[in-house]
Amino acid sequence: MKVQLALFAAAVALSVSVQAKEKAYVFVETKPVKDAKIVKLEPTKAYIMLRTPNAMPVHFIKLPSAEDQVAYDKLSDEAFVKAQKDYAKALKRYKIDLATAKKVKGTKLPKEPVEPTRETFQYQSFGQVANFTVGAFNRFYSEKGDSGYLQAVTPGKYRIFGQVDPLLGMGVCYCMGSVTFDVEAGKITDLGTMGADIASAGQAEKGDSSSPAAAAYTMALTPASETTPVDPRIASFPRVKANFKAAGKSANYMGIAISRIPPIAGVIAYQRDRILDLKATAPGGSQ
Amino acid sequence: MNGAAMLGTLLGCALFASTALAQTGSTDMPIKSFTGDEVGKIEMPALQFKATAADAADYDKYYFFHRAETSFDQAFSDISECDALASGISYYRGTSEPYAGYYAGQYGIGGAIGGAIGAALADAIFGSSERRKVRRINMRNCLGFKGYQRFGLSKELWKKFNFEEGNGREEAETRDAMLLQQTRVASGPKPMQEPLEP
Repeated sequence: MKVQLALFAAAVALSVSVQAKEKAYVFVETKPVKDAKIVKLEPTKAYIMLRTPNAMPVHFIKLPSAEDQVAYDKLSDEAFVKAQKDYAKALKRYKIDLATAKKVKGTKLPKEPVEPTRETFQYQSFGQVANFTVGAFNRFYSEKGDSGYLQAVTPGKYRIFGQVDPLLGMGVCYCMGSVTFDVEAGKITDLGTMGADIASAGQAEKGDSSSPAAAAYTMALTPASETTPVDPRIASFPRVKANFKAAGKSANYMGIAISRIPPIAGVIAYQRDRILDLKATAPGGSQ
Repeated sequence: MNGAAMLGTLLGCALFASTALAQTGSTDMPIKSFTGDEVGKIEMPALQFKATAADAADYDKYYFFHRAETSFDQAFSDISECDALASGISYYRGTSEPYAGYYAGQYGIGGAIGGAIGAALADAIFGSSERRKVRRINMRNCLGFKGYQRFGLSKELWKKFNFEEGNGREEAETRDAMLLQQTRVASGPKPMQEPLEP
């Protein structure tokens, strides 16, 4: 009997242990490829390449696949359950505090907590749980005025969020227009080159502290072409040009300066703040 | 119905629409329609003043927007959208607290985790004045993209229908009323003065 009980206890413990160790769903895994003499890329992994004039961060958010969406919905549901539990605790505390406050004249009454409902509860957006940042550190190569980042990343569809590192909370988001692109395993997806945006380059007027020209300045993105130089260390690995597509507006959830990616020929343009998908309107493009 | 109650009704209807439409995730929100009577009850702020050199030196802080041939409804849509973007919606609220703005829904939702940490760090480093500056930059950039022109104003007149936000957030009722006044100005008669840099 003792043996049976011990086995049962062990089985229960194992079950609990397995549940506790159930791996959390990973939306995005990323790792920069370091600047080394010999570079070995793995054919099962997906990579992105981005050239910049200097060390700078660029943040990307993923667009959910069907599998991602299921995992995200599960996280959202769990967060809602937790919010309800937190509310129950807060309500209990509120009732105690209210009763105490009423006993002492002149005491400020506590604020009643608001019950979360399915209609009012809002979980963080998908991009906030599925994203990655390139730079500012770990450049794959760097020369004067020219540098590049090579980074392994989970395959999928991504949006360029902006020139920002979320951990610093400073930078510019492309909230009013950006582009998406696909990343596939076994290839380097070449995002091209970021450089000065000649069309909007210019100094802010002296004393103009709120000029967008300085604080919300964005870099122009020139997609890769046949003549884009390729580092010889990765020349033998399959490389594809990013299939950029115009994307809509997005939330400024970091509370940073807002702007938009400058127009890209054949991809994205603007009519005032209206985003024009040039691929959709081009002859042969999907409407 | 007094002014505050009317505003509450207007924005209450608007918020309902926002909640319903937020589910679609669409960025093409239908424009809220105001009646002439509703617009007429919104006080038009005074814009006339004799500009001094000191006023002009502060035009990077005190200004208003206007676009010709723009309806009140369109201007309200534009200003609401830019206000939501400039505020950094989720930065100012908790994950389970709905944002009270008509067009907030179109930009999605979320209580930023990484973003909030970053924002908190930025606040610690740069403080409230930097946040206020970013809001000014964002309103200029956003409404500039939309084709609105910017005009200088004295601080005294500006304060009557504008607010600044640093690390905190203005009271909802006050900011909503001021946004409606800004809309009246933006869609109102052409300003007498010359426009500034966007």
